Parts: sequence; structure tokens; C-alpha cells
Amino acid sequence: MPLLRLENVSKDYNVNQGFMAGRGIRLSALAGVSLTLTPGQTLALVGESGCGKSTLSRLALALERPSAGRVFFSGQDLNALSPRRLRALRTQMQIVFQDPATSLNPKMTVREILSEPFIIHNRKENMEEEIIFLLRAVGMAPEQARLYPHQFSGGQRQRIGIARALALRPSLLLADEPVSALDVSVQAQVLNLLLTLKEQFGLTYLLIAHDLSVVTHLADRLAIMYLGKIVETMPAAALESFAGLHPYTQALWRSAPSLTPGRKPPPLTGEMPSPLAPPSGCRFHPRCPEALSLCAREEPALQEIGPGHFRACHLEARL
Amino acid sequence: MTNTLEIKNLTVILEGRDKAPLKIIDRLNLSLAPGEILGLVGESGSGKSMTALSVMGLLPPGVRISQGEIFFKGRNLTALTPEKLRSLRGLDIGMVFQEPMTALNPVFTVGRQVAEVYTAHLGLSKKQAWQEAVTMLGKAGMPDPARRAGHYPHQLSGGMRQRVLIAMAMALNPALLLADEPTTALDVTIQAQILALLGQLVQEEKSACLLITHNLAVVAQMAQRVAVMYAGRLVEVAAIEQMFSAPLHPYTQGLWACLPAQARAGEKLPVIAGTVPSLGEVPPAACSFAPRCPQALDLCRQAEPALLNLNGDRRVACFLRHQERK
Ligand SMILES: Nc1ncnc2c1ncn2[C@@H]1O[C@H](COP(=O)(O)OP(=O)(O)O)[C@@H](O)[C@H]1O
Ligand SMILES: Nc1ncnc2c1ncn2[C@@H]1O[C@H](COP(=O)(O)OP(=O)(O)O)[C@@H](O)[C@H]1O
Ligand SMILES: [Mg+2]
Ligand SMILES: [Mg+2]
Repeated sequence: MPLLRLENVSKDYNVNQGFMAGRGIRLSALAGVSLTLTPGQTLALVGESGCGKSTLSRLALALERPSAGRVFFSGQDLNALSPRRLRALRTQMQIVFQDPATSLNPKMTVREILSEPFIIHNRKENMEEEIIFLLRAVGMAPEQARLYPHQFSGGQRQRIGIARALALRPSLLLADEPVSALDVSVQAQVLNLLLTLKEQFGLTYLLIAHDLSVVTHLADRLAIMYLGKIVETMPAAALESFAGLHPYTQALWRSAPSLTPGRKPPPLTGEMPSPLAPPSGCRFHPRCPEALSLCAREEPALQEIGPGHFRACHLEARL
Repeated sequence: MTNTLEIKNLTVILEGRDKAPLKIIDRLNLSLAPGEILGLVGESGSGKSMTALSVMGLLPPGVRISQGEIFFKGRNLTALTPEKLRSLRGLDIGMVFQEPMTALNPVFTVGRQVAEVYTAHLGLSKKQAWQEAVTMLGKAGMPDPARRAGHYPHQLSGGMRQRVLIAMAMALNPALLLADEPTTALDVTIQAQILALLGQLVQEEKSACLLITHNLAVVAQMAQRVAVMYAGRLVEVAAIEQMFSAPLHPYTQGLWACLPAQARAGEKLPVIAGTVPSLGEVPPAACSFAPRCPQALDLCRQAEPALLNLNGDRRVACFLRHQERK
């Protein structure tokens, strides 16, 4: 059974735009997204800012309700659960944020921060041992429990955020850009920690990122998003062979500067359009270097073009 | 030919109220030739931004140059009056920052802000200046520049705001462009566009460019030379190909090795032990990297290695490398 499953999920927001105030208009942040995460997997959800990654994570954690479609966690429809059942299930899914500086309460010591989940969920027995265990698990010293977040570096604060997320022994850890605010050398330490913890705690990861370069190091599977849609999902290894990749995935990969010296022309022109007025047909067609006339008219569906490789594109899959 | 920028022995300190001053930049030497892009890399807090701000004469309160000189086209900037320096900024030295929103004035249209460069420095009429501004925004890749010029910063995307800053910085064909993390806040596809634009404008105008970034791949793509900073000191300077094929300083080696792109997926990355020292933690008469260096000798903790020329333009501050050359 999948740990997390999104079934044709959409999310609309009503927004009031200046002169249109009062007459709310609909913004389609997610449009018919389906996604499966099996236990033990690491799935990276990748796309540019505004494509709907955070919206998807809020739905996956039942922090918001979808406008349409269903979200299942361990086979249970999150939006059909009683508040009590939902609360219990929530301990199974935890999140680590991008910016540890803003996600930790500056007025609380590390001990207080790590106590909170136990107190909220009334699991106070062995709390002190648990806190020490968590600190060690994330590579910190128990003596550091009496310090405040500002007394730590960015990398250590991220470790504290991870320790807090692990307190209730979740099965799913969702990490929204967990290393993008960190320096290169600290980033490597946190990536290693995520690798270790996955084994130690038997975790399933949903990693969210705006570029492919770092998350592909951890991911088994990739899901590429563009303007509220998943345009491609595939085994991470498919990225290396590059065969038949969606033009947007190719552009994302080529856009990231490489360590090989020398200039490269930018793969894409223009910017992602507003979700208030998504393009017709394939949402990527106005920027797609290979668009056909069909692409402006008809929306491509996700189709399996290789083992576990699904792509929404009208172009012939050249594998 | 004189270098566009020549930084000599620059030391920048943070004055303490009742404590001794702390060194933010320690005897830094760097030069930039016309038309050259030099990448300045290092982790946060290493002093990259303070280097750029020293050149601009825009150091924050409490921070000042205690020693050294900065020559721009042969003129000593550290000896100029604040007024002289101000007129040089914008006219002959342009700068682009990471967060364009804070560098732009929210209450004026972006067209007006670009136009102001022309009225202030060239004395153009408002109408002429607006025309020039629209043309320059177009050169900076702004879509539909005549219409966008009438927009306020908040009405534009991050990428477009960065194009406005680049238009302002490049409006008067500056001899020197200081770009501090110009694409760090942008999405990769937009980053690729902005980098291509910067490279093209710098080439067209034959400007020298100091490109500050923590992203080594950005440097690989853009620069001809790269300087690596650690805790306020330069540890290695080399041509791009040299640096990316074989970094010499143990810090640079560690930094290069821990990049996920260099490793096999799913495997542990090599890491540099410990953390970057904070201000005041840097040992004064020792190599600043010695406490974390896997190769450190006793000597490294007793004396500070100079940034020595090994061959040609390759400079390394490491006793091990110095000894190997003897
Ligand atoms: N609460 C909200 N109200 C209105 N619009 C929203 C809200 N949350 C997100 N959006 C919009 O939905 C789209 C997707 O946003 P988000 O999920 O945050 O993207 P990402 O995390 O990929 O950057 C964006 O256009 C964003 O402005
Ligand atoms: N406004 C300021 N006042 C005092 N010290 C500062 C200020 N800004 C930065 N510093 C200190 O100067 C050092 C170098 O900072 P900076 O040049 O911004 O680093 P980088 O750009 O390499 O990340 C850091 O130790 C930082 O704490
Ligand atoms: Mg987000
Ligand atoms: Mg900086």
C-alpha cells in the first residue's frame, strides 16, 4: 500500500486583485495532480517557484483541503477522517522547512523546542532520554539542549528542525528546500544526515526543491511540476540517460550551471505564466522550444513511456 | 595596461565598543583587468560582500578600512572624498545585488529609476532619459520594455527586477561591475537567462566584473579567474580551468569535493569537518583553516602562510603546497 497517494487533486484559491477587489477570481494553484509515494521511497518534487509545490505539501499534510480530488495517507482518506483520527495520523507526517531561522521559536531553548511535540501529543514519558537521543541522532551534543536557536549556525539550526520533526517517529518526512539556504559544505553535512536518518528511522521522504542538482543526490524518483501540473515522473536514474525527457525537465537540468568551465546558452526564454491565466493546451507550450501546433490546442495526458517513467507531452518519445 | 581594479593589502575591521576591533577582511590583494570576470567565492560570512562594499565606499556603520588601498583605473579610491566617490559610483562603477527589491525604491516606477541614472550623471532631460531607460531595459532583456518601464517594482517578478538593476548598473557602460550574488534568489531557468545577459553585457562593454557567489558552478560558467575566500582571507587564486581541474588549497579541495554533482547518487558526500570560524575566532598567527584541515602540520598552527605565487597567476596560501614547490 502506498504511504501517500494524491488522486487527481486540485486546489483553487480565491484572490482579490486590486481593481477587481470584491469580485474574487480563481487561481488554480494545483490542477489535477496524481502522485504516489511508496514506503521507504525518496521522491523529489521539483519545479520553479509558484508552480504549486508548497500547496501540494499543505494538502499532503492535511493542513488544507483540496478543492477537488482525494489525498490518502496509509490508505485513509485524509478529508474523511474525524478531527481526532486526523490528529493522531498527523504525528506520522512531519515537515522540515527551508529556513531554520524562521521555523524555530527564538525564545525557546533547544530542549523546549524538542519537548513541544511530546507535550502536545501527551507522550511525556521518557521525554528527557528521547531529547538526548534525538540530539545525538542529528549529530549534536546533549549539552547543547540549553542553548537558544540564535546561538547556532544555520546548519545546526537545520539539525534542530530535523530533530523536532523526528520526535514522534513519523513515517513520512516532508522537507521543503531543506538545504537551499545552507552553504555548500554545510549542505553536504545535512544531505549526509538525511541519508543516515532515512535508514535509522525507516523514513519515507518527500523532498521539495526548485532545482534538480541537489535533490537528485537523494531521490529514487522525481516528479517535475510546471504551473500546477505534474509534467513528468520517473526514476531518478532516467535523468542520467536523458532519453525521452519532457522538454521542461531537460530545460531545468540544462539551466543549472555545471562545474565544467564555459558558457552555456540559456535553455528557456520567458518566465512561467501566472496561474490566474494558464496557457491553453499544454501549459508549457509558450516556452517550449519544440512545441507543435497541437500543443496549444490539446492538453497532453501523462503516459508511460518507459518503466515507471510517465510524461505529459505530445512529442514522440525518443527513447 | 593598468588594471581596472587593484585591491592592495585591504584590511577591514569591525570596531568594538569596549572590545578590540575584529578583522572582517585580512590583507586582501586582488586585481581585475579590463574585460575580465573574476569570481569571488566563499561561504557566508567569509567577507565577500564586505569586499564589494569596500570598493563602493558603502561599508556599514562600525565597519571601516583600517589598512590598504583600492585603486580604480589607477586612482586611489580610499583617498577620495565621499562626494567624489559617489559620483564615481553609478557613472563608472555599477553594482547588482542579490535582492533587487531592497535596492529599488518601491514608490517610483522602474523606468524612472533607470532614467534617473541618465539625468543625474549625463544631465539628460526627463524625456530623453526616459527614452534611454526604455532602450536600456530592452537591452537588459525586459519583455515589452516601454510598458514595463511604467510599472512599480512590486508589479514585476524577481527576474524582471534583477533586469532593472542590471539596466541601472550597466546604463553608463561602467568600467567595473560589482555583482554580489546576482542570481542566488532566482529560479534556475531565470538564473541561466540573467547569467547569459550579464556575460553578454560585460563582454560588449569590455567592463571588468567582480562576480561574488557561493555557487561554484556559476563561477565555472562565467569567470576567467576565481579567488577563494575563507574567514576574511584569500586562500587560493587561479584561472578557472586550473581551479576546476585541480584545486590546491585543502579548503578549496574540500569545498569542491563535497558538491553532490561530483558524487554518486545516494552515497555519502565527503565533508569538511567542523564549522567556519566566526569573527574573532580566527587564530591571528596561524593558517585560518588549520583547525579544520585534514593535512595540517604543526607549522600551520604557528604561522600564517602567505598567498604565494606558484606559477604564473596561480596563488595559494598553504605551507604544504609551498613546501612541495621547493
Ligand atoms: N493562500 C493562497 N492564496 C492565494 N494564492 C496562493 C495561496 N497559496 C499559494 N498561492 C498561489 O498558488 C501558486 C502556487 O504557490 P506555491 O504552492 O507556494 O508554489 P511553490 O511552493 O512551488 O513556489 C502561486 O501562484 C501562489 O501565488
Ligand atoms: N552590518 C554589519 N556590521 C557588522 N558586521 C557585519 C555586518 N555585515 C556583515 N558583518 C560581518 O562581516 C563578516 C563578513 O560578512 P560578509 O562580507 O557579508 O560575508 P559574505 O558576503 O561572504 O557572506 C561576517 O562575519 C559578518 O558577520
Ligand atoms: Mg514553496
Ligand atoms: Mg554576502
